[in-house]
Amino acid sequence: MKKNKYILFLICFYILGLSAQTESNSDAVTFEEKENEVINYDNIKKVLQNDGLDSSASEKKSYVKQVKQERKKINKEKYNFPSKNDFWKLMSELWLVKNAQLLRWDFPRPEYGIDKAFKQLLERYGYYNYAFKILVVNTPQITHFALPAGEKESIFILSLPFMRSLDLTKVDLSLLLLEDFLRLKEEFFQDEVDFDKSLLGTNFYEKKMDKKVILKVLESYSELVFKKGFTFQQQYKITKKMDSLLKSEPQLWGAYFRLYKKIDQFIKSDMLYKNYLKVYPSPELQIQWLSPKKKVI
Amino acid sequence: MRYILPFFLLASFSLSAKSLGRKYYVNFLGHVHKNPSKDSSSLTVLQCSHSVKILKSKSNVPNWTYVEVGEDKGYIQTRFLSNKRPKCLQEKYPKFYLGLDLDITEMYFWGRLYDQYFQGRSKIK
Repeated sequence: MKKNKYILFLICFYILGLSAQTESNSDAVTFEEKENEVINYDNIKKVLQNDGLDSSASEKKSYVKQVKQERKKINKEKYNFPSKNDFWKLMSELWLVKNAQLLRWDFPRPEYGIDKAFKQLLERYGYYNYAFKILVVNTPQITHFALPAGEKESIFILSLPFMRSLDLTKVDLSLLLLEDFLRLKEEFFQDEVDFDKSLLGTNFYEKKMDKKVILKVLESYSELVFKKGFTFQQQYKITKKMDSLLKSEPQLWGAYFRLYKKIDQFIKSDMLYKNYLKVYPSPELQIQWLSPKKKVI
Repeated sequence: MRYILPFFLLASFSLSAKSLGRKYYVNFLGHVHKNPSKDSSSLTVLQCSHSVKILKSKSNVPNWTYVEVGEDKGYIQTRFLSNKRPKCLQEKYPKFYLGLDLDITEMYFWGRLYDQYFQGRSKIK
């Protein structure tokens, strides 16, 4: 009986302790702040002066003020709008998540080895310390595309049906990824995404976050990836950049040239890829831009 | 009473002996898998900086770590775990993150993204 009473007492003591703890957590104010609220130092000014305690009281007051300011700052920081780099990373992944069923990227796949080949290609052309993520999608709706994910990070999308239909090698795929990588570096995509870019890195404390911004960004992503794509001028700039990069290695340049001949023939014959020309105008012109100019004698 | 106390002590000792420490999950969201494979079914979804208990695996599978999260025991890719608490976007921008209004399906897919990515980084010169 005595033992049971002892256990009951222990349980009661434990519960009391817990409730006291939760109370203190919910209060979440420091001892000094509480003390400052209880004691009105102004009413006992003279007593404090006589006792020489006024200096310690004012010290305490300024300390409490500092704590309050710090807490306000921490609370305000919770309302930060993401910085440029973090924003692109979040939005690109959110777009992939929201379009998971459409893009069909959640399926079992083998290791293709594209990541290793692309890593080598980046290093060969001096693009050091760049992180990348490659997502293989099981749809012809998108062929290849790069999404921004920060200053030195990119997300690449590659279509499995596109890769298979064209029988693309690791070198071919790496070249397509390098081209997409250069487009991202030029910020063609980021410039075209339609939203108020001055919001980046700001704070919305004591305001309501405008969720329409996110919806607008996601819509803009879909518009660019599936329909709008890039302009002729942008394509020309990237093709010429690839041309000058690859010229030092004729084997790679040849692979790039042959790749576009393959793509050009393929998209003209397969209706599934009719949108390709809207996104990347146009392989036929790219071949022309790459072809050495004939000398007129 | 005399027999219960030693039993609890023994049980807690045997449990702690299995544990090899704790680590943090580093990606935005992720999964604890039933088996050491990307395509194995998900037991639970994890958020960045979630602390997981590392367990000794019966079969040592390279690149996978056997963990305990809540009541679930399963596998996480070793490269997704860190000894240091990572800086997570959820903690950096908590109110913005809440504004994303992610539902369970979206959280599931966001975790799956990290299973499906082929990731790499070019070397530092």
